[in-house]
Amino acid sequence: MDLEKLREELLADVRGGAAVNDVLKKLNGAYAEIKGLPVEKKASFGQKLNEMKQEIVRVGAAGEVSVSQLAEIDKTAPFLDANSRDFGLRWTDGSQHPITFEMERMRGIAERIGFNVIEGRQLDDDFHMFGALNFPEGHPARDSFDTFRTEEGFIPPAHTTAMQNRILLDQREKLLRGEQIATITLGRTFRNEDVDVTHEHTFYQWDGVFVSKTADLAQMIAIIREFFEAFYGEKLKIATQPACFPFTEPSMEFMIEKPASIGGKPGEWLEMLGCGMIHPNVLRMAKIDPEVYRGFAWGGGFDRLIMLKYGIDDIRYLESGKLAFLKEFR
Amino acid sequence: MKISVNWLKEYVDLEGISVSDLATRIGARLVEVEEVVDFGAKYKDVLVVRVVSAEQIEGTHLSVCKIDDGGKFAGEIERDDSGLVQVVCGAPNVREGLITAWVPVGATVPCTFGTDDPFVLGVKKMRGYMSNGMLAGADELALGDDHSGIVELNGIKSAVAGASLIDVLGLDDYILDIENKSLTHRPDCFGIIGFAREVAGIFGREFKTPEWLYDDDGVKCQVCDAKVEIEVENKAQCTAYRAIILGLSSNYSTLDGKKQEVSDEKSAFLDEMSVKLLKSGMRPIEKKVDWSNYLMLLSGQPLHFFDYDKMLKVGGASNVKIGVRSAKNGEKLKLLNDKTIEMTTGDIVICSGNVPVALAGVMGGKNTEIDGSTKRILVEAATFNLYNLRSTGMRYGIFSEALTRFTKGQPAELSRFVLAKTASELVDNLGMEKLSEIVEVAEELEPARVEVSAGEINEILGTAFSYEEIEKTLRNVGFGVGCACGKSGKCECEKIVVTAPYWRTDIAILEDVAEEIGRLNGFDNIELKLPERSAKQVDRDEMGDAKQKLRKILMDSGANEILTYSFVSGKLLEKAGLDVANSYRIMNSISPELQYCRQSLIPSLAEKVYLNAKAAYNKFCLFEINKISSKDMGLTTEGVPVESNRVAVMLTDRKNKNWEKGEAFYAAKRLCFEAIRGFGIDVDLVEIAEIDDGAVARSLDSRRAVMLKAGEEEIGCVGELTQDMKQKLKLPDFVAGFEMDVDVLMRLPKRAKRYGAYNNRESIDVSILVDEKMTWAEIEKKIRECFDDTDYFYDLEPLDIYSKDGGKVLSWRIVFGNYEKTLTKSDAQIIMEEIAAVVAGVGGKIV
Repeated sequence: MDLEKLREELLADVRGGAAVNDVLKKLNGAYAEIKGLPVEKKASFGQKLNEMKQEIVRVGAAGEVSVSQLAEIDKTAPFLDANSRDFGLRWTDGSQHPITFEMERMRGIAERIGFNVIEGRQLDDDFHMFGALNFPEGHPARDSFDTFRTEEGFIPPAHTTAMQNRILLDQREKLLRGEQIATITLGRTFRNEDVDVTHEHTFYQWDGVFVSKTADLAQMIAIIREFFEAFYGEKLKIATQPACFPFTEPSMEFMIEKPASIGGKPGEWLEMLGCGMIHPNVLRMAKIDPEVYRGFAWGGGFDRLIMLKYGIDDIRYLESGKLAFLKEFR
Repeated sequence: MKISVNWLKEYVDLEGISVSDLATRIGARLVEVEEVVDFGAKYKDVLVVRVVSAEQIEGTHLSVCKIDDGGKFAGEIERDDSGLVQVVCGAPNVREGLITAWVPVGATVPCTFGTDDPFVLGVKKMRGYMSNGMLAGADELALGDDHSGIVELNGIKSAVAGASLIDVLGLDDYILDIENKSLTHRPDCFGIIGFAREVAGIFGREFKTPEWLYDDDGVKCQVCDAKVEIEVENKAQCTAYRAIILGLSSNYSTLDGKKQEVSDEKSAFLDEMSVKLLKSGMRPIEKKVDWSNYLMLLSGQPLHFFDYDKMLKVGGASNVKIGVRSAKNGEKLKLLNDKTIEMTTGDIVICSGNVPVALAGVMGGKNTEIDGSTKRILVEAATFNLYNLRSTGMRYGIFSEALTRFTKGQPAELSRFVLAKTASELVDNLGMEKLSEIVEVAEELEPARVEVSAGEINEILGTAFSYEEIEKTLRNVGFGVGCACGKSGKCECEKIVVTAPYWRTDIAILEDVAEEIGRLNGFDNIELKLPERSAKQVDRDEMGDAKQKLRKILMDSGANEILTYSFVSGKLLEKAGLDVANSYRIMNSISPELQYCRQSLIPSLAEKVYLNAKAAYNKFCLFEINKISSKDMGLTTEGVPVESNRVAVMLTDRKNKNWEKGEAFYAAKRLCFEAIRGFGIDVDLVEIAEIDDGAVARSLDSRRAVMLKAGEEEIGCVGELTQDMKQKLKLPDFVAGFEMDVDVLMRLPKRAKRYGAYNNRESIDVSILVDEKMTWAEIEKKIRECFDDTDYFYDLEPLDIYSKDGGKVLSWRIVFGNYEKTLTKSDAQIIMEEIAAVVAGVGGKIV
């Protein structure tokens, strides 16, 4: 059998507009011939047929035919005809991603409590990631963030705290007017981490900053509790644990007892975020006098809140783009 | 880090405090406790037994033994007339009279305790003899690596048949597994004593720092015949280097004959110190080394032993001259682990003469290793730059308990006291002699002093601590507290001066002192109080509002929101027709799939269309609202890349054959206009100029795509993907979408909404037959012209398009009205006539 001739015939059919499946049927006869071939020829013959099959599928499906023949349309028209006025999806098909849905809720909570909300950057620099936050040059704490870097030295931020210096600078005028700085940052963050069930290189954080003449630790713990109680819609037991961050002093981890609404039992503690009084050096970097003003800040994972709330057991689903996952949130 | 609770108790009174309370409070006031391990649990069934007889089974290495457990094993077991139990044992050292450990029937072999596969012993027939449980070696007991035989407990007084192994070896203990990461600023807590001091502090119990930690009382040599000189090249790399030379007394005349006592206890399996090492996660190795590890665990100060005579030989001089310096690039050193490394200038190296003998703080060199023939040792206690050591450790992949402590920045003063203690312990316990005094090159450091007032501390914490409480809290963990005028304690001055003990390297400012007060008294005891706020409204998050508005419109249209990575592959960029060099490239990307910052959301969406189409979803619409950046967008005034907020949509309908007629394009365009409508802005459709219209345009087929503009502002593009991209990404034919710049949507002037006088308007449907070549926009423009000079408000709603008589019919519903006057049928008539007239001018007619 002359395979080359067959190939040309079939490709001509496809280019001529024949349905790919019909064309492929014509290959069946050739496949049947394999049986009768000598053993040594079987493999190469079969391989050639497979290659031909793939070529036909590619030419047919990808529309090699259509590139040159694309019909002219009136691009100013609203639709093709009255029958196609509606694409045919219903509002019940639509869904919001759980991350943005919960961020919206958090935005609402923040504004009700009295915090304005901003979104974090996705490409930042060393100064905002570290320098403005009292990380000494060459400090090992910098390494622990496992940051990505671009050739130019830009950093996809590894924490939303990278926005803190900007928040303080942008709003320091408020302090001079006798008002407070109270801002929540919601954002996407990045770390060079191997991906598994609980780790992602791309994740989300939320971050709070509060500065006034009278800010103190008692207010900080109270306000973070307020946020969590609003988020979970119930009274919570909370606890702290001493920690060490370059940008806060004192520093601590904030924990809540897992809320009953998401299946928590007494004694089951969850570490939710890191927090502390803003280090005087961080205030100074934003031209705020630490002798006059004090502040507190907190920051923690946002994906985690969502995974806990919905019982999502694999963080990789969040960025999978799979409809099977997304449609769960209709 | 593993902390033995019993060891802690030697330094702090924990009477009346349960282990769980201890762990909870340490967690709340010092550091996270990852786990509390019941160290004795795996030994609870193990008994000390005496081997009464042991007879070898011929032709095997096995022995049939009769053991005496003092009748203590309570379970069902076969005993002979004398009450002895039979065990078959293969250990070469099993013999009559041996006191050893027996893991009885029904018990778990300790080294498998708590693993996924615990080995529970039973009664087993071996070579025709019944064997009950097993006699255990150190490795099987998880008490060392030795598997050469079973353990020998004969030297231990309490080791009598029937005793519990737990009691004999002091294994009844709890181990706190500490999360090192949150304690990096506290080098003092990496020693049992320092940790105990903190525990005392957080329970408000008394603590006395052992005297040897602040007073070495002078170290005198006994036989002063060995010398060492030290030279430190760069003080920043080594703030203290101290050394002392000790000799094994067997080679030197002893002063008190202590050496004979030493070997007597050797037969004891594990002494108290070895058990402490085991509980701390270290292995007993050899007495001198064990002592150095023990003292490190106790104090937090690592030590290193060199063979002094080898140092002499390597240095080639009559005295040892120690040099501490940066390694030279490419300089070689064979380490104790037999690996030869090539060093770099970031490494600190210890030299004898100028020959490297150790990688400072990380590992000793082979050339000066102590061994069985060592007669004199040089003990090193030093403080090196923690950043250097950290990167050196990472560079050569070496991690050790010593390095863990070195990289917390041990205070320079500590090494003097620990070195003195080491010398005296080795002299007292191993019969060694001091052959030199302590030789040192060390910086004199002033203790940190912070002036604070109670008011300042309370303002930071939101508390009301009195001076008395503050003073008590601080003194208990070793701080000095004086009055600002210089007197001890608080007097009339408003401020007190807090002096940090030398081991507190983390105290520098007021906030540090406030942290101590808050933490030691419990942050969780602070009475919470929300801040007061004014009634002033908070700044609106307009971008957030705009994004949510878009989400709502798209969701209500049946679209599903996705989030995709900000990084894409170079291949995807190429497939989308984009210039890879225009993307910021991640130097240390996880994989080629995540190497470039994306310039547009469209390619990411396209990939997910493929994924879902493959999963047999036929008709769907995906959208994403996210940020993009590219080099040609430039930098902000801060010098960071400009970011653009984008909304992108992609829809597909795999089974729809009408894509060739543009149905996918129209569907995407309609959705796009829905989204724009939410912003109340007017847009123009502009043809895409193939290449020059940016990243989004490049992914689209210009024959099936348009750009959206408002005046000069480019909002985005809508259309079908290029045939090339569809092919390369294996996408269905029916696929189209759009991407718009949300920042532009937001800043464009909004059309004022006006009430349309609903009860005072007319509605007319008009269908116009035109030539096939005419466009919808051309005809619509003509209709709008009819309203140009009128007082009418009006709205056009597309109704239909169909072919007729070789041309096509375009239909609208026109709603119009007037705020001033009531419309009549004749007003509609006039408009219709005008429309008929204007379309006739382009060859159209009303049908």
